Amino acid sequence: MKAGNNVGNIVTINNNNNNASQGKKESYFSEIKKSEIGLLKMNLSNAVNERDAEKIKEILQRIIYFMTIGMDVSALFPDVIMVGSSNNIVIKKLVYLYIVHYSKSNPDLLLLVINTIRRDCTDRNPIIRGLALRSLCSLDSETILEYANVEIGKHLTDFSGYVRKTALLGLAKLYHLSPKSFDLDTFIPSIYGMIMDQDPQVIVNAISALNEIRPGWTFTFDLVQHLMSKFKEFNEWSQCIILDCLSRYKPSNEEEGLEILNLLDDRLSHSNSAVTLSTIKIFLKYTDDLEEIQEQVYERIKEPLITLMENSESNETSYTILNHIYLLMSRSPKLFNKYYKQFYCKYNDPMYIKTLKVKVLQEIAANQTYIEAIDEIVTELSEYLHEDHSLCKQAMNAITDIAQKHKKNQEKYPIDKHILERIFLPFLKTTIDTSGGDGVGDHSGFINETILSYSLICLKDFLRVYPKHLNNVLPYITSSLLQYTLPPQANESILWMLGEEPNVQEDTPYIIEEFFKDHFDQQPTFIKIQLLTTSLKVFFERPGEMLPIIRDIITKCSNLSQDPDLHEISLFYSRILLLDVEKASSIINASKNQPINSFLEDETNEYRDKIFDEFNTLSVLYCKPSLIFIKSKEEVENEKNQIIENQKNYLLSITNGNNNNNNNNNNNNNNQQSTTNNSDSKSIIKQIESSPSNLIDTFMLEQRPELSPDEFQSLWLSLEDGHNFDIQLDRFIDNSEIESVMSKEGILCLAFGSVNDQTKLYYYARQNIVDDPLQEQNQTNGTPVFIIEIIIDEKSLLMSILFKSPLLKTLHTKFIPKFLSLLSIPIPKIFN
Amino acid sequence: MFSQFFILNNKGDTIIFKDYRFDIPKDSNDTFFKYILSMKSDITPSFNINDINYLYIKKREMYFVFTTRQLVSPSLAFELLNRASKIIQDYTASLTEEAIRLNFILIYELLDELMDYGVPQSTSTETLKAFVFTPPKPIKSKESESIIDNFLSSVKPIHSNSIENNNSNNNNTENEIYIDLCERITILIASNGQVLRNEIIGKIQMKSYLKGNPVLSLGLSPEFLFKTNSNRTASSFENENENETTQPNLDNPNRFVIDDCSFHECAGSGFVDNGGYNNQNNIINFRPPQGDFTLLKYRISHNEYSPFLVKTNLESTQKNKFDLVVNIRSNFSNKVVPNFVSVSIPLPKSTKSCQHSLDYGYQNQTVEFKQTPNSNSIFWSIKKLRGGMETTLRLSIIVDGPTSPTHSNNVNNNNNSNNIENSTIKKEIGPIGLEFSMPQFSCSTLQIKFLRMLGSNVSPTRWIRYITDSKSFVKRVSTNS
Repeated sequence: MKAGNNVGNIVTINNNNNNASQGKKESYFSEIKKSEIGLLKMNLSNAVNERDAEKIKEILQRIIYFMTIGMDVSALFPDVIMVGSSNNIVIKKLVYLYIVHYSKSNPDLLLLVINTIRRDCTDRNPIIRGLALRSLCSLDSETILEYANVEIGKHLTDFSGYVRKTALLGLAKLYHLSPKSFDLDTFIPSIYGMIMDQDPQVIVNAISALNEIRPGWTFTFDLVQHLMSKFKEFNEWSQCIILDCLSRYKPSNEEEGLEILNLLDDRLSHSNSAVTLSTIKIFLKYTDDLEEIQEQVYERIKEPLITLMENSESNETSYTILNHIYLLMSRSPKLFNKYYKQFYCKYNDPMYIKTLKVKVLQEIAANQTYIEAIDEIVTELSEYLHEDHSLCKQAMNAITDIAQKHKKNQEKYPIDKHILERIFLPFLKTTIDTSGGDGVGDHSGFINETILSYSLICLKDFLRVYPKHLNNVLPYITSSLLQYTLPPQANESILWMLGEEPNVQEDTPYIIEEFFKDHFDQQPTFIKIQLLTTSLKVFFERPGEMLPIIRDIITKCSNLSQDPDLHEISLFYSRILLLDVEKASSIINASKNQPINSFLEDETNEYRDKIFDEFNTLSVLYCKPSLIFIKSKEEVENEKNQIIENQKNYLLSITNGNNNNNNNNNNNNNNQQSTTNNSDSKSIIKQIESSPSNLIDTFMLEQRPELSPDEFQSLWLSLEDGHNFDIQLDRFIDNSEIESVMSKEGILCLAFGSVNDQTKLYYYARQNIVDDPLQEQNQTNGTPVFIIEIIIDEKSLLMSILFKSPLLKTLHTKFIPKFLSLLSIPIPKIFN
Repeated sequence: MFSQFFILNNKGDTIIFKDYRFDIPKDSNDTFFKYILSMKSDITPSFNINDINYLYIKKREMYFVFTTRQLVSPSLAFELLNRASKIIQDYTASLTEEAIRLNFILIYELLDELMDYGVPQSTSTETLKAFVFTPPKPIKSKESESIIDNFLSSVKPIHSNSIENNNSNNNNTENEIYIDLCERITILIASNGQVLRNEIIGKIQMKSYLKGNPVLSLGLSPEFLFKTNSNRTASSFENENENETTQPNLDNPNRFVIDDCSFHECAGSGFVDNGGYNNQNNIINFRPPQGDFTLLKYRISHNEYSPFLVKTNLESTQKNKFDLVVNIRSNFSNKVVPNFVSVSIPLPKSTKSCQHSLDYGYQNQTVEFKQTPNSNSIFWSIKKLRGGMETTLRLSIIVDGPTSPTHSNNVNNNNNSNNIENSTIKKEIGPIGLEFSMPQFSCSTLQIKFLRMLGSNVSPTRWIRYITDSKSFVKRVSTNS
């Protein structure tokens, strides 16, 4: 993490240099130099001496600007807090903004601010009291706990509502900072009490605080009545928070639930979609067991939902509503049947809305009984085929799905014939026609390969449902299709169709032959398998024409250099062919001409019920229940503890190191410490010595490896710790000493610097793999890069080295020994 | 609730970064932008990377982003982001990167009050005023973006847009309220001229500088029938299966039906109840908040009228040559002059050249043929197409492909094949998109009849304006069969 931050800063500085060239005239947008911080420091102290509030404000603005763009200005912390005692409210706000941002990196200095904050907490102006209280609780450090508890206790009863509401959320912050030391017994009752406050914002913040501290708490009926009576006083966001809690409340009986719903009825046509959706959630939850009323609820909400979708100012809101409409259709499939035109794509809709609208149209058409409406939807969908390819795919799938869903009605309404003739065949016809000409290249402009590919792919699913149409399609499947660059799935579909009815298309054997001769080698395995199966199916019907080809095909597929799957199947086929051609035919053609009625994918939608429970949450947009993408409190807690644990260990090792330096008399502990270190390194050395042939000979590093800070950072974050160990130094080692040794061998320094008495160095190297073809892991495990973080604590002189690499084995056996042997040049002590 | 809020420009630079909960790494803005870049057009407005949820809206080439680890309501997030951008616009006069950078301290002040610990607090422009101490810095005379502001500057050239200025002038300015009735129309016409869809969505937008806290009463054209929930008693649920839209028309054939509408917070439960289903007076009583707000949103889904009539004719004289005629007639009073009318006509990818001719006698028209590697299109803009006029564009398109003679080696098949090939190419011509903006025009004919201040004899100064824009006006060119 630390590494990431530091590198990140370096990167942003570079970015900013680029931006500066845009020529911003304002002084604080000008080019940033490293000396800037020193300059700011000086200017700030000058301005303070001159007591020039405007000047101070200006300098603070610059500091905050640097903070915003991600530059590390934490070094100014001591100077900035000095300004905090100013009486100017804007200066105060800026200082608090700064302190809160950097509180983590300067826990010790926080104590210096506490007095200022506490004084501000007693200011006459409620805005300043609120500001101070809010900032105090936002300081991410346990040092402030004690003070914050006291101040909050005082201000929960402040006469200003603004301060009270700030204090309530302050409680939530303190609880998260340290749940263990939080005084539940005192605070919880007072929070409950404040739900009865006069100020609506105080009420809502009390509820929010309880949501944070006691997740899953529920209203009582008295509380519901109290809130409903004041409901109109809350602003729309507060209403959402209350409605959200209300959706967790379980009315004790039907009447009570309906009473609440009556009160909320007008919220259903609120112009804020968040309010409307929260209200709908309550309506759906409360009427879950009352089927008839729920039907009415569905009828009641459909118009407002469509209005919100159509009339919203932002596409993002429309998208949310549309997702909810799609979800509601899983419960009440016919709800929007009459409104299908509302879901026609607008030409300026963003792609995420268009694809979703196609899905909605597909659902409506599948559940539609009016033939005219189905017809109109299919026509509309066919218009989308000429648009962007992802929309084309979605529309083609939708059309195929509609055809399949209406299989039962095919006598009354031959939608299959309709779709075949209007959608699929026209595209196939064009291919035949263009091949009639002389050259191929001339015609490319006439064929839209995207549409052709998707129609071929979908045609397979269509024909599995309606096999009777094979006779109509196959005349158009000719060798001319092979001249286009089609995706593998489209080729698979062509081969499959040929195998199903080998007699319809006269040229079938020759198409297969051409495909085999010209295209076989580039195909992925599943196409090769399909080719093999198809050619056998054709062989059974037309043995005379196929015999010369099939031999070649089987021979080639049985070749050991082919994929084992293909190889096995071709061996199996050739064996059953040898045994009994009749039986082989019945085995291979077993599934032929058995129309399927539905696809497996349509039937199982296990998630929908779970998602329905999480109405009006992100789950609906992701189409996944929250379990999959939200971490539970415990998980987060565990992770946090892990980090704290690590930090403690780290601190422990530092304190031990300190003992070593300062306390020579007490050597027992330290000896143990260093012996463990030594034994670590000794074991590595043993490895080096025992396998000399493995070491330097085959393992080479690139002399001038390249790795950008960005790549370094993303690698660092994505990789797990490879290996780390500590070395106790006798003296401080400068980076230049290390770098001079390392760079000779191709281990380069990316960045270094000193923060908080810690010197951090970042190195990287890349293995040269040209000479080493036997490195089996290279292809599977990514690039052979090694990245190293070295942290030297300037006080204790403890050097911690952390290695990371995608190739752990090479890291351990090759790279670390090499690195250590190089490091032993400036630090001979390593190998003691 | 929400952990961080940040604003990035379209190059990924951070303009504003506010951390509310400190439970998400500070480099989340980089992660966000890298993901956006990697996804290109398949991006959705919310996504999850490493258990962090990113929700964003894109406005004026800037990304407004929330991050959170919790299972939040996306509608709340998007509405709040929109509101945040609106407030920023209210305070900085225009929502541009430059204005935000210039006023970033002011914006941090606002953000501090907008949310606390990620819980939304106060979001009304007027209450926030008490907590913000940095005066807004206006950017140098740039065209302001809001319709109302444009309107303001056209009415009173010296008037400044920003709130602060308004404050300082408060003693001088009168009681003023600006009202915009905006309608956006969606029309989809099939190639045979059949209207597939004709809808209007409308809203009444206001900007109030009224002193005190008065209650206003707004009257809309009484011949409109608003279907609101107050009209829908339990009994009306039962009639749901019948055709709703024709039923009220039977009662009173002169009434226009507004299918659904929603009100701003301040209007309570909507129309003043005059006690009857058919005796509705379309009066709204409300207490306007200061600044921008939308009083009413409505939707008409069965509109009959179209302000423009578009006819097209596509013919193919030769195998690789197409003639397209586009005729547009303006179907409104000649007193109305649209701000602009622009027509886009996508052409096939294989277009080699395109010649055009316009009706003589019309200046102020331009036709431009734009070619990019992935698309070809014609942009036709008509500057002054006042009511009752008609104009025609003729295009002659030549596509890349075989010419007829070289292709006629198969004589029997030739006629047939010509048609098939042409039909594929034809599908790539169109659909034609029309964009327009018409001031002082209400497409649905809905009008504001009066605006009174209740309990006071002084009427406020009102600036009422109508505008109709195209949301999506599409005419398809070629047929399907």
